[in-house]
Amino acid sequence: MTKLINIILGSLPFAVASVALGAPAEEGGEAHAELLAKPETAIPAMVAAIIMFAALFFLLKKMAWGAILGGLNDRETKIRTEIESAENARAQATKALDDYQKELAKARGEASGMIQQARADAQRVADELRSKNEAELATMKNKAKEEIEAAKRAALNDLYAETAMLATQVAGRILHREIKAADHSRLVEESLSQIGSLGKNGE
Amino acid sequence: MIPEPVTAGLLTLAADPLHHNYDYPIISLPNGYAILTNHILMMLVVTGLMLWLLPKAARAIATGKTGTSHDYVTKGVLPHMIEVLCVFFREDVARPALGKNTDKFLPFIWTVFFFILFNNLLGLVPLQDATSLLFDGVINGSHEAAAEHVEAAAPGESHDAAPAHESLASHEGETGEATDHAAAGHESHAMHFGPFILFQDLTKEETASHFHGVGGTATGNIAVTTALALIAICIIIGAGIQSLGFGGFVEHLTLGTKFPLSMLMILLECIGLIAKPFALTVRLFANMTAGHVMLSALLGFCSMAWNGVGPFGGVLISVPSIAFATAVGLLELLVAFIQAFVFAFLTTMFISMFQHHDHEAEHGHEHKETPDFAELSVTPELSFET
Repeated sequence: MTKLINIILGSLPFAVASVALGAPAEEGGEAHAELLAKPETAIPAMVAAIIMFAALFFLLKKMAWGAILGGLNDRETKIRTEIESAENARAQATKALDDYQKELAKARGEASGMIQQARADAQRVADELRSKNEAELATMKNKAKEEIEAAKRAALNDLYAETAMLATQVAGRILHREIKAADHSRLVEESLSQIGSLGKNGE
Repeated sequence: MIPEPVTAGLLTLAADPLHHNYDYPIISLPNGYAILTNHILMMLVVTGLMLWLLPKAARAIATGKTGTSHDYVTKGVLPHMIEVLCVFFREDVARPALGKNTDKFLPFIWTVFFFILFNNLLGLVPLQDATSLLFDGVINGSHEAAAEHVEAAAPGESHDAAPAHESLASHEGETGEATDHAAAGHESHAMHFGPFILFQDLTKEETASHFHGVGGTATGNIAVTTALALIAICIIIGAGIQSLGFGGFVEHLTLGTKFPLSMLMILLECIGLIAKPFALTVRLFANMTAGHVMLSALLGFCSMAWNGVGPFGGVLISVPSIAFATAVGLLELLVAFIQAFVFAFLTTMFISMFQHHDHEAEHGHEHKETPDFAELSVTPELSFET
């Protein structure tokens, strides 16, 4: 609304001026539509238009259009090459990233394989060691048992012999008689077998 | 300056609304043919302006030589405006229609567009009214001034006894008060400059002069628009023959029909070839004329009201008149651009209709594959007709 009022108020001075100045100049008018295409002016205007247009075309082609077309083409080429190189760079970057990720995945796979392998190896070695140790231990144990058994047997034998000897001596003393060597050895063997059977039973 | 109250009726006092559309002669040959008219002068001014402004803009648009990215930046208001229009025509008008031939026809299309645009815009400047107001008294009323420029030997110094305000009498020797001193009986009202007649009044049977102001819209002159349309149709046909060959061009006119029908098609297409430039001529002429007639009529109400109902009524009527005239003036600004665009756009479309299109091997396929050409050449006429 304010704008409309502004327009109306703004046009007031023009209205006054145009009425004051324009009225006399517009006076006495009577349409002369034939003047729109009178040969006296139309033919020269047509010829002039053709000549001027042709002149403009050739002059501007040399002075303006060539430069403008060149500028537009340069800009177009520049933008196109920039976009192409950017796209190439992006493609290269994507490819590099892919490669890198593939390498990384491969390395990861390799690493985990290696770890597993190492773990398996370690396990195997440990198992081997353990079984070997166990075997050795068992062997040593058996050997020790056998040695103990042998020592025990020897000690018992010694003990029997000594005991028989003592017994014989004791018996001879008791009997006050001299036992012949043959009797002696027979007695010893008897005693030993008795002790031996006792020892076996007494174990 | 204030006219006497006139009771003879409004219509007789109304200005001729076509006044601004007449191409008044400035310099004429003795046989009456003009060598310089208002519109020729305006075209000369436009030519001068274009030869000054466009190369200036072109230098800014062209790529620089510094080797940096600043080379590719257009600087300045005018170059930007020119570039926007050029790029628009190139990318959105010419390229879709002309394809790889775009750059070949662009100089012509750009010239057509800018020539019409500059003429349309310059026509909106009220030069004719300004010069008329400023020099009307000097040229039509003052005889001494005119007398200095004419040959002393010219025998036809005379005048009729017209009152000064009638402003029809412009005499070689003297007018107005001087009329009374001049020898009676001489009937020439013409101003001469050497053998040439200045400001010849073509409404008079006898040779006479009257100054109507200098200016106007050259594109509102049907002779100028005819010339432009003739150039356009010559280029359209010439480019068509160059692209298709003469045989191909004639074959194109048949639209791929066989013998008996093809004759009819050629006839119809030839009518089309006449109708195209005729439509271009009339569209531009009518649009530019109509706008000025509207402006004249609206502003004419001011003097009609003043003379008819006095100063108070004059001012009262003038306010809405001027407001509407301002609005119409702004519309004219739009029309100036639209009509320049439409003329150049249709010329481009017509050129493309007679071009060999690479992707269409068979002539018959052309119309199947590009049905939009026909639509394109019709649509803008419908949508931009104002």
